[in-house]
Amino acid sequence: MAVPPLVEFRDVAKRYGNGPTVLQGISFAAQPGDFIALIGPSGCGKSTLLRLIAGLSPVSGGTATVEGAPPENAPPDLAFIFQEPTLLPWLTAAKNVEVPLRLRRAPTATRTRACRDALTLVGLAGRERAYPRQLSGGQKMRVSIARALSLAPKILLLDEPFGALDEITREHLNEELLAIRQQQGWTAFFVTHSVAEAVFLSNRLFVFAANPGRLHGEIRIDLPYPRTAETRLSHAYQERVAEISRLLRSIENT
Amino acid sequence: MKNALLALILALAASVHAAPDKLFHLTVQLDWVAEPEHGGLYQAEARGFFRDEGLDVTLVPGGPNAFVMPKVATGQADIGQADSTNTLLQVAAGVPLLQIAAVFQDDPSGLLVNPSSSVHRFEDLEGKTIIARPEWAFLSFLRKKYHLNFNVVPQNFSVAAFLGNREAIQQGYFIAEPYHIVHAGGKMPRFLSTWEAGFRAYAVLVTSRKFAREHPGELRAFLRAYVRGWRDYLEGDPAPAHAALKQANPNNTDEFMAFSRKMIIDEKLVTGRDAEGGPAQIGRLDPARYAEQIRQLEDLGVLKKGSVTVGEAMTTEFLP
Amino acid sequence: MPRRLLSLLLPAATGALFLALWYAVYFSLSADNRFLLPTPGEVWSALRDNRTVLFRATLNTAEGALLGFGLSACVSFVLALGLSLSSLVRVSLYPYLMILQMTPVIVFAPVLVLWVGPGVKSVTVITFLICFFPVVVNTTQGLVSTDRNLVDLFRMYKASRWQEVFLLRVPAAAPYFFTGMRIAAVLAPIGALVGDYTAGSSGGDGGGLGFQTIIYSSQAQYAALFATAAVTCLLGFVFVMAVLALSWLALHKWHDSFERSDV
Repeated sequence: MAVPPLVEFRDVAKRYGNGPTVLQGISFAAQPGDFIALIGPSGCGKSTLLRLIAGLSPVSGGTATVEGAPPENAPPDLAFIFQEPTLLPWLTAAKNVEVPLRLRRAPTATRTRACRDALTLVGLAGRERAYPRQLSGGQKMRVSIARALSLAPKILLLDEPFGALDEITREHLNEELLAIRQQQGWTAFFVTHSVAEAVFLSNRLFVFAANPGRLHGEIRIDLPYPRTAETRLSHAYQERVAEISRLLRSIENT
Repeated sequence: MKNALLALILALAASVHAAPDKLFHLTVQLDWVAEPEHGGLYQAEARGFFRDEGLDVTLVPGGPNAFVMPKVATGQADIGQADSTNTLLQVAAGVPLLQIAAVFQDDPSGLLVNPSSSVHRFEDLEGKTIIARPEWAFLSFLRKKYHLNFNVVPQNFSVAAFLGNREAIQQGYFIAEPYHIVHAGGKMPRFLSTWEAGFRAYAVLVTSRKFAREHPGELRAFLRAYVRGWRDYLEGDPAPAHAALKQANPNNTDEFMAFSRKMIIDEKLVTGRDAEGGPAQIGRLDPARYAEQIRQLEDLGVLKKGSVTVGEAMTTEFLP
Repeated sequence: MPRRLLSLLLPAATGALFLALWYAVYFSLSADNRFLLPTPGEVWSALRDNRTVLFRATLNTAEGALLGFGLSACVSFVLALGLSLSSLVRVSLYPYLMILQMTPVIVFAPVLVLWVGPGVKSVTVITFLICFFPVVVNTTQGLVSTDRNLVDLFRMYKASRWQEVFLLRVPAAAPYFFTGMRIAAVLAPIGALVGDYTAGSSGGDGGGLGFQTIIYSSQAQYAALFATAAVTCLLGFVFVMAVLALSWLALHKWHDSFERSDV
């Protein structure tokens, strides 16, 4: 029996007021456990798509369902990780991680435990009492991820989360992300500009084109999980990266 | 021939003397807007008494913050009108002023109250709120003499308080404010005067020490014309002064000026209410009264003992 | 020479130079005009001689200033909250707030005394009127301009309106609030002085520093006037320091304005 898709979009379009159409004809179905990378030129609506899935913005046309319901009414099993860590500067790392559970009025014991676990998961076990301004860029991002994970989400939305970090940190975080996924099993939508990152992380790669923003096509990445630093050295990986880079460039020229 | 030449020279000399001398210019800073309290000055000016004495006098009206004494002390005005108590305090503080003549034998400042107010005597002021100039020495005098405690709100020069509050008490000049209150729709207020409490202050003319040193002749000439002006204003026809007053301050209606002048005459403000009062008293200052006031102020603690003597504060040498 | 020592010596030297200059100007004046400028020595004597009066006056002014300042902080915060929650309310009220701010309080003051009564009540109201606008404007700005991403975050976690306001917008607006408070702290003693000048004293123990200013200036006690000015300065200083301390307490752990400087 087919598993019902976790997220399904049928011919979804999005425009802001009377402005130009930002997204058009978006159709896809995401299965539980998918890691979907969204890649394409700037301004083709990738971030907008994440917001639609999250229910932060309504669709202008077509149907979108998340766990069978419209995104605004979907059960709160979503976590969003922004490009900026978006930590509350007046709270410590631990308190920041506790925010989602606090908003949900979870009991204190549950909250503290989930927070401790999440921080351990991202490797920041000793830094509970640090304030955001005392943390490095990479550490802040980890706190942001820990916060997202504290709710044990089913769907993770990531909008270029590692874009501002240096390459080494980025590669480490990619590996850690996959390791955590192995433990928790969420479905991810990951926007990025880096083909290397997209290929490393995802099993399905959505290629976008611009003007208007639309899905140019989907590419399956069949590299086996778990993927590690070794994977980056493999011939298969490097070939996929080169191939997809060529594809992207050819799309841009049309 | 020699006789003719002599006659010519004498004639020339005479003609030079007959030609009008250049007038000496003098500025008088008034303590308030032009009102009948300045009647003597305006009459003297309008009737040419100053000119007769060789003086060209400019009367500069003041207002709520006239800064009479700073102006006179720094030479921005030659003569000013003020009250004798405050001038005493200024002299004690080192300001080089000299009081040279009286305007009013008794300062017409006092406390105005509504006719229906519960205040009838000074003792009734206990616990009340008085709108007055905070530095008025009379307030300290009242506190000490009648053992009173009251609140002071800085003078706002408006009669609005009287119209709104039956218990309002405000410092005023009884030759002016009562008229304004009635004119604004209130009832004629009652008056508690300073001399009823035993506080005898003058309204005076002051000059700077420097000016007194350098222009004694002009001061004498001025005061001659000044006394003549008051006499003429009170006993003669005040029309010239009133016309000038109207021009200086359009708020001076005929009715108001008549009221004010009548009060000045009835209350013998210029001529004096004491036994020796009368036309000869116009402008006169009594050293004994100064001595008395200095003692009063020293007792009050308002004046530091020995900080000013009668001779430092006033002089009668320029009076006619 | 160590930096710390230098930073103490230099201002002290400038101060001494200033005092010397002051005496020089005094002695250059003719005897007739010396009453215009009291010497530092005379100001010090006046301060000592009038210390009881000035101390009481300072307490009176400080009382009005504190009450007005405290009241404006509370009212401003609540008002800012209201303004931030509804753009309709904001657009409707803002022009009137501007008008209120631009009308010089001195014009209002005599009317206020008639309505509210003289003494500390009027002084409080006048100080309030002078202080509240900077706090309202800054706090509203802070409440409205919360980081969009943070707002999205809260919305995504299905935070209620109240949670969004009190767990997100209010703490985020804290730096703005304190900026407004710092401005108001400078204005409060001035406001109390102006209030005092118009609204006068309460009770037999005399008025505040503004009230004393009237008395000293009318009686030409210029040394005492200078002394009053010095005391007023000190009061303002204490006020601002207190608010800066509060500001530090609230913000130093996390806000960039308290970045440790690179020494």
